[in-house]
Amino acid sequence: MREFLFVFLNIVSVFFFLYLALYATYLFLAVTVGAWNLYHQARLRSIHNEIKHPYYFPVSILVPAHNEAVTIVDCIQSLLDLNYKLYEVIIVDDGSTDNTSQVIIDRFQMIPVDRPIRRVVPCKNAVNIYESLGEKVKITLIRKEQGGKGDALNMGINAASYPYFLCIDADSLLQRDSLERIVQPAMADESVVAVGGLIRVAQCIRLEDGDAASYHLPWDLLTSMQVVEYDRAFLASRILMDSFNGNLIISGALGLFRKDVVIAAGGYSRDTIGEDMELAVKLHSFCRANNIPYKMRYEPNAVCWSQAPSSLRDLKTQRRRWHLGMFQTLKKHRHMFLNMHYGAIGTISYLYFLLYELFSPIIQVCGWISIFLAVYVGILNFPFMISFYLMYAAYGAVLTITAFYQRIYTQNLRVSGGDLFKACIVCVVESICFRPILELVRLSSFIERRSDRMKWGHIKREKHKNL
Amino acid sequence: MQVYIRLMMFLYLFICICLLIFNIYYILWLKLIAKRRQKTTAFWKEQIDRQLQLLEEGSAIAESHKRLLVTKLVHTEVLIAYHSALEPMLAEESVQQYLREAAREWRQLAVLYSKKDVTERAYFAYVLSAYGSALQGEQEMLSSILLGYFPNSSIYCRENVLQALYAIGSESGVERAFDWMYQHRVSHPARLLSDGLVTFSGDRISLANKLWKDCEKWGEQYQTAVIQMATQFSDSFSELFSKALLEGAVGQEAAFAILRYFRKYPYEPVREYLYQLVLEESELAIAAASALEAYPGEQTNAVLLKGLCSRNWYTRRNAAGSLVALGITEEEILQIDDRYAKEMIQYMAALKHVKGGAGVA
Repeated sequence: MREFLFVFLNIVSVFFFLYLALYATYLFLAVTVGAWNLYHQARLRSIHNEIKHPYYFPVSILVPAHNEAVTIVDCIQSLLDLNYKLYEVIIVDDGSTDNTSQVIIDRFQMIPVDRPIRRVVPCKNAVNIYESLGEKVKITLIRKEQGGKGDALNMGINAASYPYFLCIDADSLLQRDSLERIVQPAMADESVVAVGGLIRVAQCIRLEDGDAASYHLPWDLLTSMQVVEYDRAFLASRILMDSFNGNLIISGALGLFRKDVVIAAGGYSRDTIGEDMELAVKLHSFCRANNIPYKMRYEPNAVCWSQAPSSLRDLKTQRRRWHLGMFQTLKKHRHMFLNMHYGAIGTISYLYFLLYELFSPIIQVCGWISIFLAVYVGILNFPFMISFYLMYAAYGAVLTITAFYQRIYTQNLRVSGGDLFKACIVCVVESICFRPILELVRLSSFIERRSDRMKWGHIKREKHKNL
Repeated sequence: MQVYIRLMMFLYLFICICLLIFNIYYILWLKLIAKRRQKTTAFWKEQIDRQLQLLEEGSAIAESHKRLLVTKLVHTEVLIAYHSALEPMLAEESVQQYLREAAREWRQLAVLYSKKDVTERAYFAYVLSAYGSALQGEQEMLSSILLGYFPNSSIYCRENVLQALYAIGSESGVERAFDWMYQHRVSHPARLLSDGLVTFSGDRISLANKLWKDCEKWGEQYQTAVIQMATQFSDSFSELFSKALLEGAVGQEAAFAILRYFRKYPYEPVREYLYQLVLEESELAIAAASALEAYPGEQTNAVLLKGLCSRNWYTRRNAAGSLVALGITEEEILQIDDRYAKEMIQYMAALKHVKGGAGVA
């Protein structure tokens, strides 16, 4: 038995070495490529190597909302502050039980209309439609029967008048130039079918007329850790995967899509929690299956400021939903896995999400069990284990700090010396404490995965000016 | 194995710290550059002011200044500072004269920049597009040099070169640029082409006529761009476009663009053809229903009422919009049997009412 355990633990140690070495290499490559790419783009922009145009193509902005009375007006106001000429705003109230619709109707003086809507993708029925023509652009509010976020977005697609649509979350704020930035890749290359933007934590920013007036790292440790986590995640994986058209996620908080391709692919899934990831994967699958030349791009200069959960409970709700969504999507599109027809998406991207995102909490639990077994057998090298862990945490922290600094100069943000110091501390704490907690949360999503299918996640929101 | 793991981790840590140091260095370097650029901009502002003073006194700009332009502006960083100094004053006539006097130097710079990296070529073309109207005297030479920027270029470089060609008003330059892109199978977004052409500072009608002749060879993307350009400013292409449309000599996108042209500039000879498109529920019926708004008459109303019951949702919507614009009466709306058609036209009428129009008669 002891000999069997010995052999088994040796195999496990080789597996973990390869697993971590691959991950460290991936992270390293991702941050290096990301850093170089952002540096290069900043340089290009500084010498007018960009598509600047007085009139880009028209865009329909879709805002699905469910019980968002606290933040929705700020969100719409930020959309009205955009420096873009041709767009419309469509808010889809998916059966809210608070006064989401009423605050919009009152604030923007909307009037009821009997607007016929063409159903090109499936969705539940509209209850009332309101329009406002007194603002800079046309605003439409559609109140509908509750059907989930994917269903609400499908309603938005049906009502959209323009060939491209942008989806954003109702608790988010767009920076003044975000829409212009996100359409630029699609303007420059007509084969681009979707563009994702950069999501940052709204608690850090004060926007004035759509421009960043000040930036600071919040005192709340949980929020600060999410700030650096977002910076690392968006710098690390998105840009690297973008380099081979392999992004499997376009965040629901900010994504631009070509409407005809999304309609042809069947629109948003209505039975998946992670409808944003599902759509991105579906578009890959659809375009490849139909030999449609396509690109899905990530535009790091299109910034959306989104509220991060400020309590552990809300964070848990959010991350469980994300993890479940990923699970459902990867399961639904498992035909792509190691399928040569899908190229790097079926191998590198899918494999990364499977091993380092979906199964990582399970692998971590296996790691802990192996440690206990090694203690039992008496072959655990404690000093090495501790030094390895600390070194790995330091490695993660340095990468995170790099990502944080990178964001400062590419977005021309002014950050105080105190905030820079705070960021260094937060990066270390995030690496050592926050990530293990998140892994536990993600693990719990496997256990409770049946319970919250098709529901909107309820996270406590604050008015942006109170953040 | 422990040694390997440690070695690998240390190596990665080392490279990451290098990356971090590079970032910090880059932030500091950016601050330094900004300060230096401010100084250089102030220097050029002073230089330009001095030359403007000379022009005001009736003299020519100094030869030493011209030499300075060629020797210094060949460095992109200096050109950025120079442009920052000059840009706020570009609308002034004295600045235009100053640029005209230095046109030969700009030509020399254009040659020097043609040997540079694509991003720097793109920036130089961008600067030229801002000064273009003053450099029209050099348009033939400049356009030939600028066309040399095209090989191994990026979309940004091509677009900036095209902007410069539009600004200096070189018809042959634009024509040759389009031909180069066609010959080398370089696709440039149609919207950029059409919107760019509208900014052409020379004779736009003459340019559109020249381009239209070549469009047959270049393809639909260019045809559409020229039609959209013409739609912005002239009704003198009606005969040309109607011939192309009726003979089926254009693709679908171009045909849509022509129908939009005939909506803006009504042309009686196409009236019957528009009726036919709506009645036959052709793919072009969507645009035809919209264009009929500009062709009032009893028969138009009858055709649009048929279009209102089309199987195509967009044809129904556009027919409703046109009928409301033509002043359909409430009685006529009530007589419509088709439920979907009635819903659509009622919505359009209400929308017009909200927008401040009369709604229905």
